[in-house]
Amino acid sequence: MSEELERYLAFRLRGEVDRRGFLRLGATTAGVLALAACGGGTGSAGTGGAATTTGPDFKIGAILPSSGTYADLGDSIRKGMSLYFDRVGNRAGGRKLVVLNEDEGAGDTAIPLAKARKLVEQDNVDLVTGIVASPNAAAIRNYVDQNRVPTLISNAGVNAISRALKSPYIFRTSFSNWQPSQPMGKYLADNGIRKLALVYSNYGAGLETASAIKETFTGQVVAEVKPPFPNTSGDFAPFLTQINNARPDGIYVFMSGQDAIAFLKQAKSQLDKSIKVFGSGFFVEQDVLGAIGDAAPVGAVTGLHWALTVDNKENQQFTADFKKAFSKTADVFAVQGFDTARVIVETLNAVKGKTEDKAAFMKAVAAVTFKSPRGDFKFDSGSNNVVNTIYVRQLVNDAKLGFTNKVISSVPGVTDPGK
Amino acid sequence: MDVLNLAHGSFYMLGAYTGVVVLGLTHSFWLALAAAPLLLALLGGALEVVFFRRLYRSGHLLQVLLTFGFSLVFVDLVRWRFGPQNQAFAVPRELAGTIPLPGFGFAGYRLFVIVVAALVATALLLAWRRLRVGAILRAGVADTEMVGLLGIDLARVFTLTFAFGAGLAGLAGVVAGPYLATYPGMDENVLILALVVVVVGGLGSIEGALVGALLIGLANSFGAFFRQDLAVVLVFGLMALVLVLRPRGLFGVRA
Amino acid sequence: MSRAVRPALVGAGVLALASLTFWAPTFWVSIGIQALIFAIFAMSLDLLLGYGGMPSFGHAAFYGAGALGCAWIWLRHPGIGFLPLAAACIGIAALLAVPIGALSLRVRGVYFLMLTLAFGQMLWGYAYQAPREVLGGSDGLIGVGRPPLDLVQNLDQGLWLLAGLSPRGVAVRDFYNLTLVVAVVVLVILLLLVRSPFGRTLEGIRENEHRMRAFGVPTFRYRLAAFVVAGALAGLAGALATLFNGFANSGSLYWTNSGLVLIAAVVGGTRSLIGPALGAFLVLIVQDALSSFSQRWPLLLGAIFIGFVLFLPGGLAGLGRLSRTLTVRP
Repeated sequence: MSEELERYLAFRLRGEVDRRGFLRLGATTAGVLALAACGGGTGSAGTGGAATTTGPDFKIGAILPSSGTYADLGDSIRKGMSLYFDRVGNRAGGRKLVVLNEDEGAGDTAIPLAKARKLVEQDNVDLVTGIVASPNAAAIRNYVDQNRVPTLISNAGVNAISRALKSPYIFRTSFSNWQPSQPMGKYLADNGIRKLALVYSNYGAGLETASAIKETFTGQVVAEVKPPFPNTSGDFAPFLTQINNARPDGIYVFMSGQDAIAFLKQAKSQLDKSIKVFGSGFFVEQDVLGAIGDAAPVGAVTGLHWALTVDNKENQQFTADFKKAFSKTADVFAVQGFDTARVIVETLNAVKGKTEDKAAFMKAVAAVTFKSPRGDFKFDSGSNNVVNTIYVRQLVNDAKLGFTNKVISSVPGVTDPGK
Repeated sequence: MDVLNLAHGSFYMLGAYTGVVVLGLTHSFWLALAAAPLLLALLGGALEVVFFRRLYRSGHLLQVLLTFGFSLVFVDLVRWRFGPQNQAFAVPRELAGTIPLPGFGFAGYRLFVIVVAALVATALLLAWRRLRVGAILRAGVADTEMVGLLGIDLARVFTLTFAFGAGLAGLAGVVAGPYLATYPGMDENVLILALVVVVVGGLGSIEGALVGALLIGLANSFGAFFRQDLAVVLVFGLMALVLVLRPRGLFGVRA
Repeated sequence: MSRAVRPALVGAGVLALASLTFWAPTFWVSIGIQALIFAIFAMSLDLLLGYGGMPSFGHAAFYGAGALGCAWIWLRHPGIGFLPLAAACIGIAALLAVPIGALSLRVRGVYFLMLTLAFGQMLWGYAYQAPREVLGGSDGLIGVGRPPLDLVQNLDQGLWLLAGLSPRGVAVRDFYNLTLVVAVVVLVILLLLVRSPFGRTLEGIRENEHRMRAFGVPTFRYRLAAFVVAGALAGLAGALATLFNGFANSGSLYWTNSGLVLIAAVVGGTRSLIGPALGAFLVLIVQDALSSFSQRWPLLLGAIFIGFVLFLPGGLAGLGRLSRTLTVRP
């Protein structure tokens, strides 16, 4: 192998080829860098208002994926955050809000930790937020805890963050994997489901969803179908066959993103029509619905801490503003970003911009409460996790909104047990 | 052609996206089906002429580095232009039905995929074994100088072959679009499976690729059916087993 | 470039790296640690690839085994010292390398590339799906601390604290020095190995195995030995990574990790040990800097790799060889 390299090298070494080559490389690199600089930097959002600020900039480090499978979720969260910050003129507590974006990456868990280090040590951020993937949340937990960095997790659902890995500096504004599914078990039992098949991606979030629903489901779990995560072949036929063979009354599904899309497309023609479809709302969230079109399982009943159709003033305003600003339909991830931004603003206002006292800052975070598009927002002190209202929604084909989830009932005050 | 091309998955992805664009413009799945392979063949040919042909004698590692670089570029270009979200790519109405079979229903689109695969396989096998171009390719890899001495423009043959390969990948992408998800990272999964299939089947053999694909596909599906958590281990274990017992792959030629 | 310049440059480089703890901010020191770990990983691959002519696409399996093994052991024996811990991780990786090497080395070239990929993925698949209590499943093992410092480090810790560094800043610098020492030791071991009769024989086997066998050399055993040594050193790199990050998960075994170290080695220039180390530094630092600089960083990184192949196929080490050749020809 290497002697081939050397032969090739010698072949190219006629005269001054390589000095020119080296210069060409330099020029190309410079050109490409220039091109990319136009393509969009990851610099700060927040162009500031006209009024004066009384303190230094409040720097927020947002670690969210802009590449890889979760890039779309990261995009929604970022947009949700910027929507709220723009609404308050990018200022709170007399300080200008500056967001520094970093790419969480796609799989290498060491990267978000490195980014957290960079944000804390080099950029001196006052707060860290983001984290879509659960392994990454576990990875940065000790670092932010030991360095006393206020952290708001705006997606990663791993239960441990609210339990064994709880920290006084880490609050979660999104959900724990337990929350959306635990009340659904009872709902299914109350609605005539005797035999249930659990269908979930075989990794942390799926496993935690399954154990949550089993807490309140009183019927019989006839099958647990666990496609690998991610399902690289994209083929769900063997799993659909397994489901059909188990003859359940209904299936409870946990999947997201590409797996949900492929699964639903294939289930449309391969899932037994007599089986009712339920699940944790992620697999029929707006991002998935946008991609599957007619394959949407109309009538599916799912549980989630938000829906496009949640009927309150804040949500109506939020969804309209989001669509207008980004030409993208809002989804649950955007709401999480939106709420995270509001938590930051409310906290800063409460401490009047004075953030040197970390303990007081975290106390203010814990005390934040407001009306969010998802309902009343407040944290639970036992788990440092948001208390969610879990909406039971049904998938419909709405005349105006297209495929969406209509709220049919709700379970308020779902609080993670915290241990 | 003895080229290790890690950008092949990108051709697949670009094929799917071409399908999305053409479908959006013309509302005809069949036009999309025709356009994707054509466009990708053009792209593949261009890449071969400008970049890849310099590396035939450089060994696989430089090919890996170059094509990996291209795959990064293509994925990001797609993400830049189309955004990171999944694209809507619906099953065409004509193929959306379910064919009733005794005991269960068979999805119409899956039958379509099988038919396309069968057609492509037949065409390839015929070309490989019966047509001149197949013979030239087989000879070109075995003994490049000799083929050149015979007066055949091997460079052009390689370009056309590479273009054809890219076109096929594009076809696979546009066929996969309605069945799976279309998003910027879709190249990665298919690439690794394709490498497994080609190696198990044996390099330099179309029959091998076919048999390999069937074998790996069945292993994947049945593995998933019986022992879900060990499906990955099963597929790669099969690959390892074949390579250990028959190092050249099932139908591999002595290169 | 005369024969004396190269070692002098390397020595200067090491000294420069050693001085980092004195003038660089803590964050740069952290980057340095990551780069050094990756460099150890890449150098171990060079033994296999550059000197042995065996391109492995599954080297991350040993790195990951060392990483997970380190986490597993530390969580059960939190007070364990660095040397026993490192030895155990090296042992785990080496033990794993024996059967994998024995099976993989039956084939050559691109088939070896694919077979090592297969074994790497098998191990990843197992680690990923293993019960969470054992290897952490998809979330991995977290909460790994650092081994206790020995007397020397305690002494110099006092000095740092006097100089006004935070305890954290001191801990990072101590770990950096540890990593640097390990990296230099690995480099020296590998240099001695490739210059020794063993190394010469290995290169002979790479050049013409039939001839070596005709001389009566047990070529398979030599190649297997190289494979195991390379795997063991990769495991050491993985262990260091776990101690630095405080966690380990199955992701370290995934094929993209094997691909990245292979790229670092090629970019740096194989068969030079220093080349892959430089390549590792380059790839790590460039990827880190680019991803913070622009959202389009994969595009830039891809373009850089393409540029390397087109304009610098000999890699960074090739630059050294280039200038040597340039001075020879007028």
